[in-house]
Amino acid sequence: MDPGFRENSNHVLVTAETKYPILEMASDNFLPSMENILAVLSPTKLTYYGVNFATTLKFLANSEDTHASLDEIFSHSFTTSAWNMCVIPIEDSTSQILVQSIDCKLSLFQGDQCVFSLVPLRALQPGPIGYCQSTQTLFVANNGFLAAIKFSLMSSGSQKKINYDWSFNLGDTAIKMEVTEGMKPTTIILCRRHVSAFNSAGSVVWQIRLEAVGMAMCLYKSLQINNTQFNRLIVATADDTLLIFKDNQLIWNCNSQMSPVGLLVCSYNKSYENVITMMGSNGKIVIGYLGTEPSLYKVPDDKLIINYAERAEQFKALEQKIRETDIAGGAVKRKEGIQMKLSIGEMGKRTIEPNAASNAPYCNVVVDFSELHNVSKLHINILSECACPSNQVLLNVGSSQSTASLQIQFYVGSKKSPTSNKVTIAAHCVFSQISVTKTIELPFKTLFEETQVDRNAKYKVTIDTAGGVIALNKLFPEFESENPQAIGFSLHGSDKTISIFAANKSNRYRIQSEHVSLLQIAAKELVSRIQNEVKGMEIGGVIPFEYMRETLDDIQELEAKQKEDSKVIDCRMKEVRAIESLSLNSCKTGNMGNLQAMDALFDKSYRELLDAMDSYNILTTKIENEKATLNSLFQLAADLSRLSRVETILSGSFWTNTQQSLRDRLQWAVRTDRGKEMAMIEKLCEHSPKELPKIKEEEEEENVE
Amino acid sequence: MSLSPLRMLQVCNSSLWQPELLDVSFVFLDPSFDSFLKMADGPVIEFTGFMKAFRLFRENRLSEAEVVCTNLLRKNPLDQATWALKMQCLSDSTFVDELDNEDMGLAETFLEQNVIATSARPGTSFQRPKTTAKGMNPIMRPSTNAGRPLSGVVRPQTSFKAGSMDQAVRTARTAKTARAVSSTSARNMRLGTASMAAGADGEFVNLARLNIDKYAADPQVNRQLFEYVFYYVNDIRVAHQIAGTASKSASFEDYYWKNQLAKCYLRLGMLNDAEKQLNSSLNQRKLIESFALLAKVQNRMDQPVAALKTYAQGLESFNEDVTMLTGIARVQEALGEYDLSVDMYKRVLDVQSNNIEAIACVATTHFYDGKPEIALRYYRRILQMGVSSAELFMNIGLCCFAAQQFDFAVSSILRAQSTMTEDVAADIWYNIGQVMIDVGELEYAARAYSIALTHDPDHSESLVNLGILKHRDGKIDESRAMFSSAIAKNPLMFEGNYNLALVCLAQGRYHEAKNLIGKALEAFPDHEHCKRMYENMKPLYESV
Repeated sequence: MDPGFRENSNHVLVTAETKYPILEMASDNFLPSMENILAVLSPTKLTYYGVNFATTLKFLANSEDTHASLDEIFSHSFTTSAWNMCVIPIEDSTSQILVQSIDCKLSLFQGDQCVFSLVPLRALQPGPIGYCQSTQTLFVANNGFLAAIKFSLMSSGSQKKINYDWSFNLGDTAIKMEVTEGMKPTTIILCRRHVSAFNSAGSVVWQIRLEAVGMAMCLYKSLQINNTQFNRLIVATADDTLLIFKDNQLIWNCNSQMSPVGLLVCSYNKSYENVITMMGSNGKIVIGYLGTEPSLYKVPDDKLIINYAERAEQFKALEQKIRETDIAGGAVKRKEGIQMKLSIGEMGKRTIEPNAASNAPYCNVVVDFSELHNVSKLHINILSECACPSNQVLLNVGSSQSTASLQIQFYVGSKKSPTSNKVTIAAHCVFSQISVTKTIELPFKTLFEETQVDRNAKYKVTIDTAGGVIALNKLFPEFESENPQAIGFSLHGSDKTISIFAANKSNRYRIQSEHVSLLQIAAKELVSRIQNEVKGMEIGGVIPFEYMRETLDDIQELEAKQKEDSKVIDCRMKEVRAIESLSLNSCKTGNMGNLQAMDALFDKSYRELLDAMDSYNILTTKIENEKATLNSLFQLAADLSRLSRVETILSGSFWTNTQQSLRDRLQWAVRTDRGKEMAMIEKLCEHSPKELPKIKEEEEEENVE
Repeated sequence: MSLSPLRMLQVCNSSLWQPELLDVSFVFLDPSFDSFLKMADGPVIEFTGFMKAFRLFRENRLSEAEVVCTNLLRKNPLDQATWALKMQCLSDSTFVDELDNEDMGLAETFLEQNVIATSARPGTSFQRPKTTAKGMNPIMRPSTNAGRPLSGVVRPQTSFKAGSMDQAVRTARTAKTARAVSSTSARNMRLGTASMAAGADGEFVNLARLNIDKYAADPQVNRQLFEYVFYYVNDIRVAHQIAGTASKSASFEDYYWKNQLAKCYLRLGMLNDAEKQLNSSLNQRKLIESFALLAKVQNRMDQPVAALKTYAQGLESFNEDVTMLTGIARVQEALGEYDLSVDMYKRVLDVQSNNIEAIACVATTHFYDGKPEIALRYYRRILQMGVSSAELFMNIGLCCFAAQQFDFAVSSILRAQSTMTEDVAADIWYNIGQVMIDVGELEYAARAYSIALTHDPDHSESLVNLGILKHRDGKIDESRAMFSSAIAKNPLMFEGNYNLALVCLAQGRYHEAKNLIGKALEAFPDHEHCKRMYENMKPLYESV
């Protein structure tokens, strides 16, 4: 089989039997005055054929399907088998053929003459040979060695040892050689595992390392790409792949579905120009172009069809709903929702409720319900630090009624002194599982009455304002004080007092009290009154972290103490039990001799146990109070931060209704587990003025309107 | 608890040249082909003898060529050309590119004497990558069993970071993880036995009786003889003898023999000698193979900076050479310099746009860099080139999942599941478990991890995550056992050590916890929680 097919067309032109296996073919003007000579190399013969095309021979040919004929002209025979050959073009003369035999003997034939025959490079296995006309150099790649030999040295016919210009150990078996002419003559060698390019001086220009064994290679020149700077080549590998390179840059690769032994790019006629011709070892010839459409992975058809218009509508409706609930103040407003309204009702001078502090005034909170559909019973829960007759109220609603109303009295309780004037009321309907929650603040006067000012109180909070000081008697008109610079309040039914001072020279107010827990309520009241008096006044204050620290330390100290106490209770408890069992035992055995002593012992230890329990309970209330204080301080910090437009997560209810320790709670809020509690609190109140709360969202305002 | 992150699957790099199909316009089948066959019935026109063998060899029909050679040698045992050809047929059938052959045996890994500096400066050793390199974060980017960050492709890679000998020996042996204890790797062992089986009537060349000096000095046959001994017989000592003699007979002027000597030294673990030979070879002739081999030797010596320099020199001689660029990219990746590595891989793609290793590595780096959409495009490119493996579909599924394209993610993962093979099944089920955790289906996740473990009992990531789920359910002892076995399978794993340390701490086993945190910090020196736990535990020890 022949990798050098040049003649090919739509159908077979001629078939001739040579009686010998064909190694290679070449067509050129090998004989003077004759064109289209086909030289065919077989192991034993080099035969020259004349190709006569149908145009000239049409009249002579008898059979119609023969379009051309091959005429054997003459042949050279060899004693040793030939392996391959190369055409050596010679200027102004007919081309010569250099034949290499299997034992690497080179013979040059010009027409019917043998010019010389010699062995320049002894090798066991012959390799490809090539000739470069511009440098007149012969390249031989036998047995893994590439050698360049000046052709003139060989054609001189001298039998002495021939020196190479250069040689290179390819380290591999060469399969195919291509030699380019021109300015930069390059020798490109395809070996089994790499492709190497050498310049005329014998140094490696580039190398391509192949992944699979190389099978065939061809250089091509495209008419469209008229650029001789690069060598374009196609390499076929044993894993059925064609690789197309521009020098060593891979520009395309494709599956050839066969591993060709011969490869060419040639033009046959107008419609098949520059097509790739491949010949397989089984005699199959494939002609084709490179694939232009890559085998795209087809995504499996999705059965889910999304109707985007419908989805958009759905989203719009959802957004509308969200906006509506936002306008409703975040509270649930459903179609069958309950509306609750809180308002301050009548205020009385003195309440007669049993759990009230002595001489405490009361204030009624009016709770109005509306839109009560299908509601028969409403459970109302009240959360407040102020006392009221009952914290839980059950309201019966008439079957046809849609509104209901009730009044709840609030006053300062006798047991617990309030630290806040907030009242939270939650209503819940069991049947429809609807709840509603509202918060209202009781008037200041419900909690406090006027008293003497105390200038030496321990705890202070200072409030700065941008404008001048407003007279305190003007700010607190209901207390009928005459002193514009100082006013004192005391909590009903207790001796807890708080004083507010207005500075003479600076724009400052000072709130002073012996009780930390009262600072917040006073500060808040003061701030809201100033704001009511002068709209848009800038108000600020310093958060009293040191009080928090103090309270925290107290709490920790008390908790430690409490732990000790609980241990003591444990011991006492065990003691009592032991005495009990001892006395029971003696009862069983009837040994009642030391009954009196035992009784005395039991009496004593029981008393001790009760004492311990008492002290434990006292500690618990103390801790509760301290916690309440801390909460009010948190609320104060939150209020003051809000004045400087810092929204903090800290608030009076920051630490209430949770099983977590303060530390855990703070760690969650600060999102770190570093540092001490105080550091975390300070971090939470850090004055980092945020832009976002200042920006008013226009859209929301529109909606509000 | 630290959950093991998503693991992109490493794309198998077995077929680098993944081709697009040739669009065959038309096929000419020679109509006279039949008649040609008929003609062959008459006078038999066929090549015979050495010519036939040589042509078969040239057409890469190695076994047929070998049969012809054997027949010829029976007739004439002294035919050198046939003898050489047969050796070539045999060695080519077991040829492995020495540059890609990076299997190391246990003995080589643990009895390493070539490391130059025991405490190298950061960034100058594979054992101490730059701490500032942002990629060296096992939470962001998982690591392989050898403790290296996950790469885009499977490479027969040396474990640069040695665990303990104890661990390596203890690791459960399955067909996949078996690792030869001797200095020759498993692959070479297999080849050695194959050569015994092939020679039914005795070994082809009896090396013990061969006059090695005579044949090694003969330039006609020494290359074939060397390749035969090196690749087929796998007798490196004799191969070294041949290469030495050949180099001498070529009066030390042939780069080829110096490279072959270096290969022998490399196999024998004599890295300094290999480096000497390669430097001498490069002085003589600058070649890609020599540069690549030299860099490989330097990598083996744990000198990545020197290797990078060698690759750079190679690039100076061979502009934009794929081997050099890939080498740089691999070293940079191993050092955790993902940006530089990706830049290199992009240069590779400029030269060779179908280089799967480059595409997969770029995609993986993008994925762990938090750009799943870009990674998805790269993986789709691989898919377009005709590769459709389960790994690829899984990776595409994970990219889609991370990019919130759930519909595609589900279909891709289903496809991966239906096409997966046993060797990737564990990884695929593990990733399904991860996806389940992300969508909140913890029970299904636990089930997926269990399935992953049935496929590969050594899958430490699945063990860790299953342990976390058990811990969540309050089954502390079970989770302890899971973490412990995960550590036993992969002691360099960060998550296993850290999680077990947490459990130990909660149970008051401070000493154990401290040891584990120490190990976790080895794997991930910058982990803030570990550091703090370590600090907190220090006073306990100082007070004792």
